[in-house]
Amino acid sequence: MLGDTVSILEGDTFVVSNRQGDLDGTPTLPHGLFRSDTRFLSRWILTIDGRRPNALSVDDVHYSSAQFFLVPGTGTVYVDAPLSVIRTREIGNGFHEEIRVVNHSKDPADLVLRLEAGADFADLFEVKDALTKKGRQYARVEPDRLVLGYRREKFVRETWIMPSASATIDEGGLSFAVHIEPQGEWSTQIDVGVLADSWRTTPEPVKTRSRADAPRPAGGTNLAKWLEDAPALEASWPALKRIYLKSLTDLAALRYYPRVAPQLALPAAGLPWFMTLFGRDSILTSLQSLPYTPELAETTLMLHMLQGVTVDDFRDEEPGKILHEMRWGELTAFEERPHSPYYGSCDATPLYLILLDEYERWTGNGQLVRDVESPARAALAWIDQFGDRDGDGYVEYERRNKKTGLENQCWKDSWNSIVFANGELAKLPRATCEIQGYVYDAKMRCARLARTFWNDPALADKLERQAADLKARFNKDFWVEDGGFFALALDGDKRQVDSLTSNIGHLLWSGIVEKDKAKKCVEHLMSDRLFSGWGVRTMASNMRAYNPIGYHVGTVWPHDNSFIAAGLRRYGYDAEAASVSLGILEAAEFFNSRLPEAFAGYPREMTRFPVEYPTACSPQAWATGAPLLLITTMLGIQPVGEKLLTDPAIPVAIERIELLGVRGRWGHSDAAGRGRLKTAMKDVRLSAA
Amino acid sequence: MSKHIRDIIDDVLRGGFNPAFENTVATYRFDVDGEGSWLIKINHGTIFVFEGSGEADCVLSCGADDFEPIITGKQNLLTAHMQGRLRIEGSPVAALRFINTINSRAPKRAA
Repeated sequence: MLGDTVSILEGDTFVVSNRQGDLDGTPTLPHGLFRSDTRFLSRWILTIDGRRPNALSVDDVHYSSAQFFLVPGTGTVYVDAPLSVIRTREIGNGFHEEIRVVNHSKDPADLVLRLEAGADFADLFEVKDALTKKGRQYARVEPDRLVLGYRREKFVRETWIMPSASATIDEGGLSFAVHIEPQGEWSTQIDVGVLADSWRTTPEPVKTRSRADAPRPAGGTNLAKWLEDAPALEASWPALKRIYLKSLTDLAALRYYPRVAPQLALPAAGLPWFMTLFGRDSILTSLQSLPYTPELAETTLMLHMLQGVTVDDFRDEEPGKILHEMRWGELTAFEERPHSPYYGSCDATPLYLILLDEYERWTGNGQLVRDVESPARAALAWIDQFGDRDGDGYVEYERRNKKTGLENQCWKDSWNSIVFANGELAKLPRATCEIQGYVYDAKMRCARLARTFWNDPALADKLERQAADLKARFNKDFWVEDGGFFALALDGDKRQVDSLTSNIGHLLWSGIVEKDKAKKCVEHLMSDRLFSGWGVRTMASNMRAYNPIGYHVGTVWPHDNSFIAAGLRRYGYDAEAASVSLGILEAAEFFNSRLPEAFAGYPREMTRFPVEYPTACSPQAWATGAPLLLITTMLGIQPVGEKLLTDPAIPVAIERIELLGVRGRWGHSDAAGRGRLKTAMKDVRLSAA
Repeated sequence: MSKHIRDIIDDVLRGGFNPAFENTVATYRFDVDGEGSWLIKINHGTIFVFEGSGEADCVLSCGADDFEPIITGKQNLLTAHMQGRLRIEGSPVAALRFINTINSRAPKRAA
């Protein structure tokens, strides 16, 4: 569906159109101008003499602007079009559009160019769920502009459409009577401004990146500077450099300036549905990108500003908990959805603590660790007091909000993801295995922080004791003796949910796995049942619930694999890490250097190419971050004291990787390595160009 | 009515000192439609309340009917803000943390 659309974005403002540049949104079709989780324009259709022109081509190489080249339909390929229409659209805090019509004929042209405009002011949740509005819509024709509006009590949203050329304006759009001399040209500029705050009476002037009055300070958004600050990558496999640059560019596009802290940028989860604050997604993406763009991690660590303070069933909030998702649309405003913010994720809190430690290890910014001591302690307290709901020593989840809360509060959050090997759904509350790994890692890391920065050796000792105890119990309680792997979860009756899944790779990443059990986990991860040849499937193919195109029960997720590869290296399985890394990066080349959120779990030898999965979002932040973590893993770069250590484990097919100018507590360092490891795939043929 | 607003503030603050603000130096101002303005100054845990206008780090403006539910935390500050019932000049996060802290049932010190 998104393949036929063109998306441009700036922070939480984005436009999704068709290839003509038209917005033809319906309750279920995600076209529109969106800002702050509201659709401010759902119809924006260009006609010439009542007919919609045809698209010749689209130029959308820059994520904040697009050009559409159109010709009026002639009905036959044998007749040259006498006119060209060029729409240039640039987004900022609204959008600016220029429409140029060029007359190629030797005769003057007289035509009526019309822009049909409409706004349904749908909340993003309404676009997805096709709900009806509770307020009143209106349209107002004012001198030189059309105002479309929506009011519900004091909640007001408006769209102001302001053309530069003389137009006849009615409540349904703008019409231009156009006369163009032979070989001549006509154009108009149109500003579409949005009023997204109820107490304002006029929208902010439309600002875009190319105008002098850009919406953000240039240093914060300038793509060239963003790329210049990141390490330079050189590789004998040219595609790797393309994938790397695509990841960095997409990360820049996904930078989100939250309304609650507008001076800070952190990675939003994905376009178009998830351009907002997400605890888990922002944290994992920040972990993946730490050696490349450490400023994202620094901002993500400010998530504590919205840390839970009380017990609130509606929001699944508990003291010390890190948020799951923040929204600004009408349904959130009127508390018909809990996202103000919503706290329904069980892993974001330990992952926050992991990021805090990892950030300091790379950057040496101990002051930040001291500054967030209090929220970090509250997060640790949440793990023991609220995360472990029943005092069994494991963190488990069951939503407090039974109506609109999330049933699964781990990363595999679809309803059918936590199942037994026989396909039976696990009973709540569920303690998924990877969350226990994150908790172990968080406590070990916070022990270091407590000793080094918080001047609290007693807390450090306590956390290390707790972590050691957790590791010992976990390796007994979650270990499926018959299968030789860790259970996906313990269910509400403390039964092992005995599915074989990719989650065991996250356990390696966390360090909770005892060495003698790691070998068996690795054998499973690299077996035909889990490893498709492109990557590790979310669920093994011999499980009853397995489906190669099931969202969390058989597809391959690049971000999942990036953490699995890191886990494999942590336990010394370098060749296996190289296989997973190469498989995912080869897949990226098939997807024009941009990895999707997930792709199908079909075996490599069956399809010969990774089969696209119709996902909702592209780019997706943690898929964008996956190549970065894979490069980190292949080069084996990690901070050791004040230095950057390099310990390459590169597939022989890649030959050579160099990463120049890695920023960190050491200043800038270079890392390089040669490919020496044979991989599990037998048909690797990397492109030479 | 002015006295009533002041009473509400005093009831919520419960005294002139809150250890949860021991690291805070900030001034919040409430502008209540038709009632006036109140400054709440916090200096390392000590809280002072003044009637009248003045410079503030964060200004919260609302109608008289909305004031009590918002300051007591009965009405979520951010959803009031999103609905257009509360205007925030300054950091919404700072405002949220202030309201949450004065109404907090969370442990003051953890772990």
